[in-house]
Amino acid sequence: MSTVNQWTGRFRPTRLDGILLVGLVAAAGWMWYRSAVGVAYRWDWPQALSTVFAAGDAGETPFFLTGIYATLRLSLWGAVLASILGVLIGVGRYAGGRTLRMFCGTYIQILRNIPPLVFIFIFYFFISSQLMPLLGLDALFNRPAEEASGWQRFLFGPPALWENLVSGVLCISFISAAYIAEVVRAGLAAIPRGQWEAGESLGIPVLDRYRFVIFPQALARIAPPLTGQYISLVKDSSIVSLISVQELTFVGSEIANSSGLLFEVWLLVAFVYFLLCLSLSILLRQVERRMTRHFHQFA
Amino acid sequence: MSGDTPSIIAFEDVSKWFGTFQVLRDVDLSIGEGECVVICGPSGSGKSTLIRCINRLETHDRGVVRVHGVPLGPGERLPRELRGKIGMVFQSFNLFPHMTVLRNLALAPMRNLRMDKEKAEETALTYLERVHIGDQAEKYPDQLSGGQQQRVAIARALCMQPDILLFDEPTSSLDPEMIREVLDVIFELTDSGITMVCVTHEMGFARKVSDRVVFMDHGEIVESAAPDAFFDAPREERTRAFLNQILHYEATA
Amino acid sequence: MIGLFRRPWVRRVLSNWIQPAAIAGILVFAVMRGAENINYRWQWYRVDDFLFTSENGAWAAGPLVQGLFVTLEISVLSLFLTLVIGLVTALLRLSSSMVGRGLARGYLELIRNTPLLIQLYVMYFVLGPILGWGQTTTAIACLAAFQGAYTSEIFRAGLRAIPRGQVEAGESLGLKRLDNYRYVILPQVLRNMLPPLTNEAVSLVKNSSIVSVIAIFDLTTQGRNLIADTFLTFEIWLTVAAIYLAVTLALSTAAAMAERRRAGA
Ligand SMILES: Nc1ncnc2c1ncn2[C@@H]1O[C@H](COP(=O)(O)OP(=O)(O)O)[C@@H](O)[C@H]1O
Ligand SMILES: [Mg+2]
Repeated sequence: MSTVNQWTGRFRPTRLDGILLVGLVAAAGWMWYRSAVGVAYRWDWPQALSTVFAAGDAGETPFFLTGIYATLRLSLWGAVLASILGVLIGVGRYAGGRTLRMFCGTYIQILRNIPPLVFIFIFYFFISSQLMPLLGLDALFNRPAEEASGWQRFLFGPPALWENLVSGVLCISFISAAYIAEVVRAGLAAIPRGQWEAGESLGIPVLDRYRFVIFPQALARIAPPLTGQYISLVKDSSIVSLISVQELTFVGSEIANSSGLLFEVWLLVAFVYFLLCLSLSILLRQVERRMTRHFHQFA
Repeated sequence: MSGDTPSIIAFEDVSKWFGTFQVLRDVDLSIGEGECVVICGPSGSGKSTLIRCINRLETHDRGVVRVHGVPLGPGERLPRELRGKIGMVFQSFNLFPHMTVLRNLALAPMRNLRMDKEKAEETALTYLERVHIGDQAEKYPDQLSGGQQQRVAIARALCMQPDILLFDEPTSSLDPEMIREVLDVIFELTDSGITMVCVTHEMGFARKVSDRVVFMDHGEIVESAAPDAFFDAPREERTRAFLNQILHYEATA
Repeated sequence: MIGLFRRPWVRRVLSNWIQPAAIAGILVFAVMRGAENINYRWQWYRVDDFLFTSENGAWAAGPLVQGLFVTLEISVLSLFLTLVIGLVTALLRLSSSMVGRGLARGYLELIRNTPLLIQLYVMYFVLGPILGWGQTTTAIACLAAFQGAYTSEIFRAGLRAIPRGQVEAGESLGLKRLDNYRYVILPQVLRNMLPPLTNEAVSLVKNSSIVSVIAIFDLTTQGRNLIADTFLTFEIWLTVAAIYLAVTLALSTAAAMAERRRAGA
């Protein structure tokens, strides 16, 4: 309680504070009692940490870290692809002809209304059995590993897992694109018609009108919801572990099962995601603030 | 006047519908080069729609609109060579809020006329001086007063060196003390040779500045006359009623 | 009757929901025809057995319909819990208690910054055993804890939007504080919150499919099991997706109607 006091300097305890504190302590005590006595779990954090961060036999990157890197790559490429698709679909929904609008609307509604899990299972089956052979991607991915250069490994990870990465990226970016498209559409719809008309009457070509007049304003409006979508994307990337994409969740569950240190490993995985998302949201908020400096009137 | 000079804008039997509602009814109107025409009429009579058919922010459904002799049929947009040549000043300014005043002015010359940045900004400054706000170039629109914003909007349209300028109630959303500064700027443009079509309810301004006043009601052109004749001896009953209504306050104030 | 189709909300439901569903159906049909060319043998006729079975003239729910019931059951139960958690969190955030606000804040950050799947694993592998929870309890608690964080925002907005004048009017009429809440404030707040709350229900149904990873026999699990048995991958997944879509669609339509009643009232 004294620490709380130091935070603000004006902590005036209420009755509710007391009740909550007592409840909190009781809950923590009960949990400790249950874990120590009830299920007799033997916590072993040193063992867990050394298992998680142990280098491989030949000094390879620790398995756990490869999972973190994979999640980062998955999120990065997923975000890039989702942004491109999302903007295209969102603009199509907003400005397309009747047919295009209808298709974009269908995409948005369907993807946002079936469980991501179900989509991933359908789509994964579709990708692996139809899309990959069709596009000849399997040939691309089955090249000898030595051909991959250093930067390719840095950007895309070990060549043996490229196909794996692509499946994951496609899945999460297709889902995320639907949400981004809806945000983009709403952002465009919120720009007053006069802005379009001013651009048109000045004779600014259509693409330039989007680029210089409409998008910057739309971007300022959609920056906050967009930030939320990118964080969702990082979080949603965990479900591709279920189609065996070897990212953080997948790796976490392998380690948890093989080491038997279930409690420690899962808490650690949760903690890593928490740090990832939290730092991402702080970072994006900075970018957002920088971008929207001149938009006091929209804030 | 329209008789002597070649016409730069001509409406020939133009009609337009919004759904089942007819906004323009067989409009015939010819405007000569360099002429300044004021359009007035009750709210909802189709004034905005009419002038927006000139720069094709709206398209009509029947008849022909000729701009610079180019015949535009129903549904036709503005041909490439005319884009930007018909400036428009809106009631709500429509400045780009995310750009400085200077960028607002320089954008169209850079993207449409392919002017380089220095040249475009130089031009922009010239026109800002002309509307008496050369010192506001680096500000953002929302840091300016309404009157200043509208003058920026006029300068922005001038930067494209238009032959035609359309004004859609340029002073209607201004506080009274700012109306004058905007009207003065418009007045100063009358000897520039630019053809001006101005929708306004400022009758004093119409009388002083315009070559001709056009009165619209229910999508029709009811009367079109030189300002003195229009205000002193209106021929149509509807015109008289309208003038009575809006001049009432000026007379009694 | 014709007039019905002109009403804005009916048109919105049609264009936002029915039309996409119809287009999706047509697309699926096209994919099916395409798949025939690549030697996928469609066996749709086998799917109806998974929906309903009839034995000696007596109809019974097939595995998919049984799964749907489990999904609905879990969704409904966690919806109740979600509302409780959401309301309590919102009240704590608006309270004068610093511990309360800190607690609410910490809970929200925790939920918002970790994946639902990880929350489920932590609950299932760590909290569940400690607290002695079974699968179903874990699933319901997890979904509610997740959704509650988002729902609390709706409650918070709703509670903050209570017009002061209404509170004062009630008090000046001498209503007791509880009566004032019950008869004056709550009905207004609830009416405003109904549409967004319906959307939370849609999210819940959608998110509930994730509990299939802890072996709960919901719609998704039933689908996966059937596929493992029959290899009718596309048929079953598409059926499962269509069932989810039908449920979310029905709820969203209800939300649109509620919204319309609020706007039109
Ligand atoms: N985009 C539109 N859709 C439907 N009706 C419109 C639209 N724009 C204008 N109108 C209608 O057309 C009529 C004329 O509008 P307008 O030209 O703006 O009149 P004015 O400028 O003379 O006030 C009004 O009754 C208005 O409601
Ligand atoms: Mg108008």
